[in-house]
Amino acid sequence: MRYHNITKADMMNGEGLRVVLWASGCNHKCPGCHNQVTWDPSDGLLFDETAKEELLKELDQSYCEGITLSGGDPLYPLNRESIAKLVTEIREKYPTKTIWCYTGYTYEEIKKEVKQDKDLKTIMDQIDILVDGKFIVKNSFTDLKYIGSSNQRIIDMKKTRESGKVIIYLETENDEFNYEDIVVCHS
Amino acid sequence: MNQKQKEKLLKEIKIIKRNGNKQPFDADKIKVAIRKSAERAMVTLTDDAEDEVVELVLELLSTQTTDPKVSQIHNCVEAALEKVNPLVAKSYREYRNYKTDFVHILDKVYKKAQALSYIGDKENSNTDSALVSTQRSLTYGSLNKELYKKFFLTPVEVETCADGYIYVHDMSARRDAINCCLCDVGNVMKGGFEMGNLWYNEPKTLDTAFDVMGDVILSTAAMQYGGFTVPEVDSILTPYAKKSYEAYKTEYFNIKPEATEEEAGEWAWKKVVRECEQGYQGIEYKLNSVGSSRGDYPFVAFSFGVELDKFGQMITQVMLQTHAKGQGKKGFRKPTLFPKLVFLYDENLHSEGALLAENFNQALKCSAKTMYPDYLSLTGEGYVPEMYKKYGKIVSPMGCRAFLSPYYEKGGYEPAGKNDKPVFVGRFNIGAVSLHLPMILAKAREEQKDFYEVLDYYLEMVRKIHIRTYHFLAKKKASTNPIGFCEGGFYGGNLKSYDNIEPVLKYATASFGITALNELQALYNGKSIVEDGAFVIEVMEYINKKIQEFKKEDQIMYAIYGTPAENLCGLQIKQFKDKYGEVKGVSDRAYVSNSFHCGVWEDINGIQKQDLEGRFWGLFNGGKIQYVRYNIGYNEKALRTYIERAMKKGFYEGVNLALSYCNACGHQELNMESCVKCGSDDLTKIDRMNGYLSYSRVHGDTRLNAPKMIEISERVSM
Repeated sequence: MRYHNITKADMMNGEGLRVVLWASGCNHKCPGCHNQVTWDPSDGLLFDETAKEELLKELDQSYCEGITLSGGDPLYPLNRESIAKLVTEIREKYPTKTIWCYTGYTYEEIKKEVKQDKDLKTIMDQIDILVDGKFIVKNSFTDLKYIGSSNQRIIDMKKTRESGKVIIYLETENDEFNYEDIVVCHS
Repeated sequence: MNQKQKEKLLKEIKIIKRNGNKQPFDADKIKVAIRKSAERAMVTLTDDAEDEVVELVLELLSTQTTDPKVSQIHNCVEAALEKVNPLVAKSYREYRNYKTDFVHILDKVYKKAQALSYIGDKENSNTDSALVSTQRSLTYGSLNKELYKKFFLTPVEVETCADGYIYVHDMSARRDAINCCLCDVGNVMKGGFEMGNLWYNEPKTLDTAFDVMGDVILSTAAMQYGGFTVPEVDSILTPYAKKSYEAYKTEYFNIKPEATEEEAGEWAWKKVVRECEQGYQGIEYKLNSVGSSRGDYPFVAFSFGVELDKFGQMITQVMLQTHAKGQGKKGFRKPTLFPKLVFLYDENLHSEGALLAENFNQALKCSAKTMYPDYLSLTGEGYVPEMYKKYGKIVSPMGCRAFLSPYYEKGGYEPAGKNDKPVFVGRFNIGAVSLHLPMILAKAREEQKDFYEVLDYYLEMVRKIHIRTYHFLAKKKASTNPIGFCEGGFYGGNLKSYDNIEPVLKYATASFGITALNELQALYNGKSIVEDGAFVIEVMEYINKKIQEFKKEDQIMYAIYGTPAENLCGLQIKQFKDKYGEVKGVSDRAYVSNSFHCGVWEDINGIQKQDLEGRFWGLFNGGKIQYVRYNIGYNEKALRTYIERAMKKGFYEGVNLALSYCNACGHQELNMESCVKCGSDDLTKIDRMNGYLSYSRVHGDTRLNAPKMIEISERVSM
């Protein structure tokens, strides 16, 4: 696998401050993509031990909430083996840190492939959040949270694995003043 | 000289007037002039003293071989007065050339007034120069600034200010009043007080307490020129919330005697929460729309968050929720700028699962929407946490970011024994003078002098201005600010109205302001403070050491203050360029960087920014803030991570969001240039200046000076 960048203390690609791996290679080629340079799998740098160490070192930091796999598409077929290894290692070394994975495939498409793709299954069994679906320009709004177009979903994988159906992550909030929101402790 | 010689001389001397005409010497003219000077200096000269001056003048003239000019007569009178009464001599000197000087002054003021009427003014974002009251106060300010330069500063200081090596903040007001304070509003309200010749009884309900507090703030903040903080407002209001609660309960039992305690309590609680919401909303409206008599919306800050009582917790949470909701029409609500909210963070009370964790949760929710509150660490490292951990005392910021040095109840500047405690609430600052360090370094190089030698010269100059300010203000009467000096708003402020304020002044701090450190490093070795910073730290350590010495020698509490340059950011560039031209990294942008902050254009993440700016934290105990930019508002975990990290480091931490609101359709989103929903340009935008927020646009029109607007447009990591 090759990659384009590693960004740190990133707050745009998932909850908290995250380290983000921008993998090379994507075959969705969505019109309007912000990261076209990452489409070519042979572009960018080789994801070697040094690159991995850079990720792990960042995960060691207490401020780092977890890792986000993005790209390109981390689930681009040629990336899956490396990503599966990486996810397994991180899961083992950092059980409390979260793993978010962005992909252009839909959850349903992946689900079909999981049976014949061991690496893909390894990934899907261990990540916390899957952000799925292509970027579709006409569904793109500026006030979406963590996604580029409204067709994309932020899926809570843990709950989804347990229940067998897609469970969406992220809460909705109420802006109005509410007496019940005043929570005091009796000392 | 005997009588005969004198008479001869008197007959012989002809004075050459400015138009060339000659005129006989007239002793009475001299007497009238010196009497006027004496009057202005509030001195009465005896007849003998007046005669002595004339005598001395004549003696001086007797050595002349030609007829003297008017200006020579003036010199003689000055010299004579210097011997007889130096105070009057000073006054006389100030009035020499008054015909030309005063015309210049009035001309300047007139031009300023004209400009205000027709063009407007963007020097200070808290003043809306379109208003009549503001124009009046700015015109007066302009006159007062000229008078300050003429009568308070020495000619050398005036020139230094004009060149830009130092910058005297608030020239237009510093002869009138104190700068910023932590007003002890709780103490004022307790037991009732007098304001404007009216007796105010102590409030009996929360609603009245909010109302009275608002009156006290508006009235008292107008008696000073800097930020007005009500410290620990949750604790101040708690007893009044309790009173309201009890009253509601009694009322409930009166209507329904058979009610249970629980039922009545539940009803009373809801009522008091509602009262708090309305009370706080009232304060927000008042402070953002009712201008004070000084012609602006005074900078008011509230600190809160650690009161343990459940009513105190309720007050904290209601303030945060009400602020987060914003004010205005439904669908078009926007957060207000005042009061600035400062959340006091105690790790033992606010971390997850701790007693007051919910206060902090709600503060974060509020910040995610409105930037405020800013967070002050009481339990991390450094000076402010040390005072809290050691003495349980909170050093709230005065206005946006100025912090007091400790004054100990018994020992004064140093604690007298183990049981001595510092006092902060009720104290104030008497003004800031900033150094222009890049210019000082440039001067040292140009004159081939040691940098520290040149720096010393300017430090001494600032020191002298502070000492003079201190003595000047000491003679003010307590009646100039009755709430502060007579009704207990200030520590020791129980003076009689005719007393001098001197006894209270010893608790005050005076600030040495520092800005443009990034540019100082750049001038030193071409590197930014992201790339280097060692020289800057060395300089700051030197200044700290030096000021520690001044403190001891002068017994004045000097403070080192990271200057939030609003208008100054562009002025310092202009001043530097005028003297030393354009230097890469130093004067090639439109603005200098605030205090110790990294250049706003630096492509660094918040973690790097916190660490880089953290290097200077302990060197600015008189005023500082750290902040991180958030490109999105909804990542609350990121917000929590940064703030908790800052709290561990002992920071005073702010959140930066480029808030923008469409006035046409009500859409709000970060960083809009025009509305992304409806395309309208009628936007209101709120940006962080440094320690405070400001409208950068109101209904599409900019509200800040041009260099500041350029700075805002170049922000990457601020």
